[in-house]
Amino acid sequence: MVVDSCVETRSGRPIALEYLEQLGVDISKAVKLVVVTHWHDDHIEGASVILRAAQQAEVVCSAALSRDEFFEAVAVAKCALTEWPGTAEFSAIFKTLTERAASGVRPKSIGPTWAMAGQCLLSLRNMGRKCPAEVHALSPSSGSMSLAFHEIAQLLPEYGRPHRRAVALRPNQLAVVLWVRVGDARLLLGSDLEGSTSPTLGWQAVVRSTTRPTGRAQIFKVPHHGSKNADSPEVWDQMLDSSPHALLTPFASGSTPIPSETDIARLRRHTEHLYCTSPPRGWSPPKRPTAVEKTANEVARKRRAIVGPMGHIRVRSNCESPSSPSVELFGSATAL
Amino acid sequence: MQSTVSRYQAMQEQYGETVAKPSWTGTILAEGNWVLDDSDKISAPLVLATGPITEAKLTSAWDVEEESGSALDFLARVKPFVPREVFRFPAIPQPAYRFRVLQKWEGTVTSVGDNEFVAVIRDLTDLSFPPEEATFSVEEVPEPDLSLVFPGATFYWNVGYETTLSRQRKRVSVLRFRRLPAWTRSDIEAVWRTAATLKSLFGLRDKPTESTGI
Repeated sequence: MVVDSCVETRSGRPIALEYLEQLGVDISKAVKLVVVTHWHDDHIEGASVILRAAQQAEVVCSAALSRDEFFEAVAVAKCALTEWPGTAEFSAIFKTLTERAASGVRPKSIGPTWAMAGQCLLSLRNMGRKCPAEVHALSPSSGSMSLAFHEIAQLLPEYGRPHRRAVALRPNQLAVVLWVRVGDARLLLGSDLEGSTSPTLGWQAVVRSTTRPTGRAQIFKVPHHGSKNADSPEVWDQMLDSSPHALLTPFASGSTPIPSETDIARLRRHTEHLYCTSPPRGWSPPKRPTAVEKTANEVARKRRAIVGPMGHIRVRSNCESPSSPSVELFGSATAL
Repeated sequence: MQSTVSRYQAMQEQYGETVAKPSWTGTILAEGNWVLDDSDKISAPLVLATGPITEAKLTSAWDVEEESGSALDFLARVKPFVPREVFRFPAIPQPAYRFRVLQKWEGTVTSVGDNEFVAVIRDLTDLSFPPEEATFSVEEVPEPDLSLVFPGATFYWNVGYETTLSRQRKRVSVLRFRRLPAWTRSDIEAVWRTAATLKSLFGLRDKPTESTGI
């Protein structure tokens, strides 16, 4: 299963694809699911390339996107005079699915699987497997479906208004959170889902769900780059082991890079095993000629690179005794 | 003014004169008054454009009643008119405004605050550089562009050396917002049609929640 995608800046290829190739995995057969948790650029870039390589994989998208408005947003990517990277990637995914159908690869249905809370996306229980494996969607909640209209409608073109690019809106209540179980090993992959004061939205809805799988996860992909908005004490109390292995990715865009020092301190109160794929302070802009640097620094109040050297955290766990997984850090990945 | 030049060519054909150079077949950008000098020769200065601007001086020796008048009027009234001398004035280097670009970015506004806006900027000078996020004061935006500052708006940011008419060199920054056309009804209908096609392919599927059984 591949969850979300980003692209290696030097090669321009999806990182997940490069990693699986490096491991010698036959991507065309081994990958069963490609999950696009939401449409934002930092989660979807290169997903269509992965899908082309993973010929037998189902595509999973948030059910909140299975609305007329989102199809219009994808169509805008084809018609707009400006780039719409996130929805353009969806357009490429849909194109790949259409081509597959034409070649007869997936004759039953060509559409993506629209995931929502309470849905089992994958269950591997047979074929001589040592450990059964399951993947469940814990979000989006039914309560967030109406919010999808609000978010996506803001992207749509209006008569008489100028063309513009799509800009991600917040808070994110539409992302797909996954619960993965392989034998006794359990993972909670938090995507970018954020919290809410409403019990029917965000992490509140996930925690209160009566249909979610039981048990506590040993491995936690911390949601939304460790931001305070996405942090739910109830998730740590009710859905995670004590001191789970918590992994996060930084986000250098926005008024303040996340996770901030405060975020890290808060997360460290929950776990001793906290890792980040690269330093969480963002990166300095690349060096340019002195005249350019001087002027740029005079004009722009703040400036920082929002993409830097990629790191990689590898967590391996024995599915029969997952209590102490091994952690390896590559590139700029770091323990916090 | 273009028609005057054409007539001028026709006269050349009529009288078999080939004095005028081909570069004269252009647009008259400016004219001066013709004058009658002491030797009864007439000068009718014209500035022509045939690519680069050429300044030329016509002289002729036909009698005219007036002592001065417009060069075009001169061309229209004096028949037959064949220029006897053609001078090409040497080009005089003109001081010009110049802007030498050192660095170009393309930006997309992601949020707008009270007095500032935040944008993701991409390096157009070196495409291998990563995207950056920058915060700008709205004071950096030219007044005619202020209404264009909204989330999703795109702009160009150039840094370079400006050479003024007085040949002074300054390091400058120029923010220029793109004026993209508005969505028309036909644009929006095209979006709806594309969306309907996509939806007919993918939107009707209601995936069951059970295991895939793989």
